[in-house]
Amino acid sequence: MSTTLRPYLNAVRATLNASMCLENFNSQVVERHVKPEVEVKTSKELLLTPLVIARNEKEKVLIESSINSIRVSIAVKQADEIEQILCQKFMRFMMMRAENFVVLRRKPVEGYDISFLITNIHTEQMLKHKLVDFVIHFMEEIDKEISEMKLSVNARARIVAEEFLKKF
Amino acid sequence: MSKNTSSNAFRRIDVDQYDEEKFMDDQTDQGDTGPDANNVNNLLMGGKAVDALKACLQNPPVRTKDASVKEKATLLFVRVISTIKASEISGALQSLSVEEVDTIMKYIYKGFSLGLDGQQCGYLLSWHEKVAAKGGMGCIIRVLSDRKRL
Repeated sequence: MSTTLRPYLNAVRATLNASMCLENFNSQVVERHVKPEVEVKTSKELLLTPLVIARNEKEKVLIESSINSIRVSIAVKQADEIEQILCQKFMRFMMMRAENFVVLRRKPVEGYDISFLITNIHTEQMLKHKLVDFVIHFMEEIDKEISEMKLSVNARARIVAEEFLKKF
Repeated sequence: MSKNTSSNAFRRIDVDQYDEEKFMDDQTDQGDTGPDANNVNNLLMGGKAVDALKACLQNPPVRTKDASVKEKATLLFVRVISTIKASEISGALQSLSVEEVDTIMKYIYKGFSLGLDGQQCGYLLSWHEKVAAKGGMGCIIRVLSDRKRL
């Protein structure tokens, strides 16, 4: 594990812990509706300052909080084209199955690769520290997963090329 | 009688703006100019990094709408903290008041959002850890909820 990953994740954890303080809040515009305020943005007084935590230009996390929901958007490291494609495919795979992930958002916020939307319902049904752990764990795993996939793609490409070039 | 009309422009009128209870942001532009860059630079040249940090935290440009002033102040802050050694951070934080610690936190988060390179982000991350240890969760929450943003 590289030297800056640990403080990066610690900073994200501290910020998530502080911002995940949600309560039920009825919509001010539509009666008997409850909407995640961070998505609908009806009033400025319900939104908190959006915070960014960055590790370098590419890897960053955006945490937007509001009274009843927070949105965590993650930009994953993409050093070259293979990583970009792998990341795109992998995120697409997961976002198509967003229902099974409960807190996953179907579309990422612009400029980021994947977004989570955590509402007060989630913090009531699940343990708050487990939710924070999940986001941190996800960030740890995604880097590992993508570099592993990149290795296996390269290995496979090498074998295919060898087989193909045997003919000549 | 109502009249048939093909116009649907009336649907786009924001009727909520006439709501008397609508929240208005009462932050006015006071034209803050940010910390005195010359003074901070002089202190940095003299090797007094901790004093430079304190000078940098004086009058943060929170009550201005001018983004370039905020950005300049943040870059100045990043330059100051990059001159302070990792072993001296805790000592520097000991002498600061609660308000100053909150200001540091604001600058740190603003610094992250500027898209700096890995090394500068590294400084910010190590400072974030130390500041969060000193100010606790409260200083992060005050950054979140403060209307006077950087």
